Amino acid sequence: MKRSNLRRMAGSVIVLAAVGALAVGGAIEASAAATGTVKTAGDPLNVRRAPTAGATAVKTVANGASVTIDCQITGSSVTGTYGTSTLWDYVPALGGYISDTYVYTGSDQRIAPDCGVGSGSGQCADACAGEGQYRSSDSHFLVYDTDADGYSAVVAYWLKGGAGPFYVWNSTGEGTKVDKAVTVPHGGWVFYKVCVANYTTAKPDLKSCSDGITDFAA
Amino acid sequence: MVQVNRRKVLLGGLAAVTATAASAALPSWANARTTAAAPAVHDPFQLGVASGDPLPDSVVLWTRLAPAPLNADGYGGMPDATYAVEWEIANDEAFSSVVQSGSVDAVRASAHSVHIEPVGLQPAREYFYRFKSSGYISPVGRTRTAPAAGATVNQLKYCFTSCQHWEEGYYHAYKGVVADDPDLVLFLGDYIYEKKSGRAAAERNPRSLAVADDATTLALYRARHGQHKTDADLQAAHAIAPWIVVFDDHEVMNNWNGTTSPAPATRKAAGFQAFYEHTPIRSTAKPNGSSIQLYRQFVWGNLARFHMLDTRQYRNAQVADPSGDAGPSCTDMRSTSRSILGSTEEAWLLKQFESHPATWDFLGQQVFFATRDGDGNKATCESPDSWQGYEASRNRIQQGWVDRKVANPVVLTGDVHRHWAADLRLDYFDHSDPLIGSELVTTSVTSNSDTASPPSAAWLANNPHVKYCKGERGYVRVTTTPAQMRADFMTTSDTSVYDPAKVVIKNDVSYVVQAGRPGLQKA
Repeated sequence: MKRSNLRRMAGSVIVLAAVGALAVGGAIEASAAATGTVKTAGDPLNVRRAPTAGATAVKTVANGASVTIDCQITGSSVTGTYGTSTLWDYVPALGGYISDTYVYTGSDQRIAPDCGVGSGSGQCADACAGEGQYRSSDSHFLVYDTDADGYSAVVAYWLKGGAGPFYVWNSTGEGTKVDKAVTVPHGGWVFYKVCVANYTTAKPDLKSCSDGITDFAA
Repeated sequence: MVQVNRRKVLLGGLAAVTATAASAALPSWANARTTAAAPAVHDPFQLGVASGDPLPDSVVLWTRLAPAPLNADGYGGMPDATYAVEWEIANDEAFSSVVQSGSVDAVRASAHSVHIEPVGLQPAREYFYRFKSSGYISPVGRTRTAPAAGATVNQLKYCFTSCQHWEEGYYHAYKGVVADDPDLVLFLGDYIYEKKSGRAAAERNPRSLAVADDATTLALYRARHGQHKTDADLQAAHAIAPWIVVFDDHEVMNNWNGTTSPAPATRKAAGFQAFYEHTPIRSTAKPNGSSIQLYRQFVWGNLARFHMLDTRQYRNAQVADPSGDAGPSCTDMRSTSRSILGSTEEAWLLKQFESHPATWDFLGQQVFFATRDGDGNKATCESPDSWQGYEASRNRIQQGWVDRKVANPVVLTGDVHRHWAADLRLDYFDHSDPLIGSELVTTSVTSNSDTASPPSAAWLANNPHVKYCKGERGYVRVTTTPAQMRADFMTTSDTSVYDPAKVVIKNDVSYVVQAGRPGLQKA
């Protein structure tokens, strides 16, 4: 009976050169972006950093503009051109979310993947005192403090391997942004929550955390 | 979107979900279309691979597709669609000599977990396996089949572990297991915990749960198992050898039993389903609602037999343990009408004892078997969740192996977060009663024993059958030959420190039992 060299196996993250039948030509990248057209009464539409009407408006988009939607997510309820809905569309080119009730997509269905497993998603804690966004293109976290509530904004995130959470803090006060690179391998996942907390180098008491979502490094 | 009635959209979406869930009732072309339409996913092999329940001609191969393993909905980031998973089993880790291969559908109803049960493999053989789905290839696992029935086996090396609360430490014990290169790994319960760490010294916990709610629903149990399976050391230990896994209480909730209190049937069903989905266990153990066939037997040629027990699902409710000095009722704990295994499993186990195909009989199970009585007074009792709380049940098992001439019984235990070694006798209050077997208790992988203090000299004098106790983290490594069984009690350095360069794993103490001569001897 042959015993293999177990230390070669121990990491067990090896993708072997395919000698057997399971040959692959290369990993498939997820891509399921959809397009839509902004339709308002004529005013520009707010683009928000998180999928809720209370989140910071990062810019506006003109009525009639064509948008590329990476993913969709449930947020606060909005009544717009096409009725009332909690669905929000994430548009990476605009750097945020727009309410789906102002977007003509030509379909009655959800037309893009859920942002919980999407790409370039952002999310926001209760009352949006902290906002956070993972930028897939270069694996940076952007952490915003949007309210002088006495707490720091903080992103708590987990990576493969089993350690975590790790933290990205914004302790520089209302209206500021922290931009920090985090190491995630190409295609790797990062699961994160946006919270507020008193800054500490020990384990923080996280408050008002958002539901966690998973994003992937480009 | 076009101008539509939102409610109609929602109902339409719901109908689509229902159709997928009911795909077994659809014609084959409908299923094929669903597969073809399945959206692309990121690398779904984030939970590693595993194998288990080895037989002479078969071993279970496991994986689960979960590109986003921490998602709170328990679906691991998989779209609501069916995905084909190809598998291969080979003689070599380069897969130049593939012996079997196939393809199965991973479906949402099983959280896209797959269990492959190849048959026709050669006995006592090492094999390598891997999976492919959506253009990605999984890590490679190594496994092993059991020796043929009756075959002469000169040695078996296995490790056993238990109790791995996620928050309370890193899984350094599995670094030791991997380095030991065992033939087999047994897991004796508390693979996950349904609740957050309740430890007073919370500052010693080095990591936190991503989804911290108490697991009460299938989604939450799945998310909890999913996070555990992201641990690199745990994945490596699963990839190195076949495992035989049983649960204890925390895979459902603390101290549940055969009644619907404290765990109602719906909660048991959810816990069992998630356990099955994340365990390399045979389809004979696929849960049927709140019922699961967990207890089973494995034979390793003429050397060893493993009776893997379920001391949770069929037990009578625990005797109440009131605070204060009174303690639980000894009369109730000794009632002959109570059982920790239930009558069917007890009868099954006693029936197994009638045959003697192997030198060693290991009873792989959850809770402390020997009596531990601090004051040495038979009139007062303690530990109602252990076999002590079902003393007549234990007496029937012990008397059973004496009557049926089981020569070398060794009980393997988890649960108590400390290493223990003890000898077994029919009457634990008669210190000259003959020894009839031994018990090896593994400490936890991570779960704490912060408040436990070592047994005092007086305590040990009252319990002379107890040889050893160590309140550190670790595992037990057993090397079995026809002549003796050696148990190495392994300890790890502080599990709150991640740095792999600082991890120290050592053999704290070893005991041996000579075949045909009951009783532990210090090695």
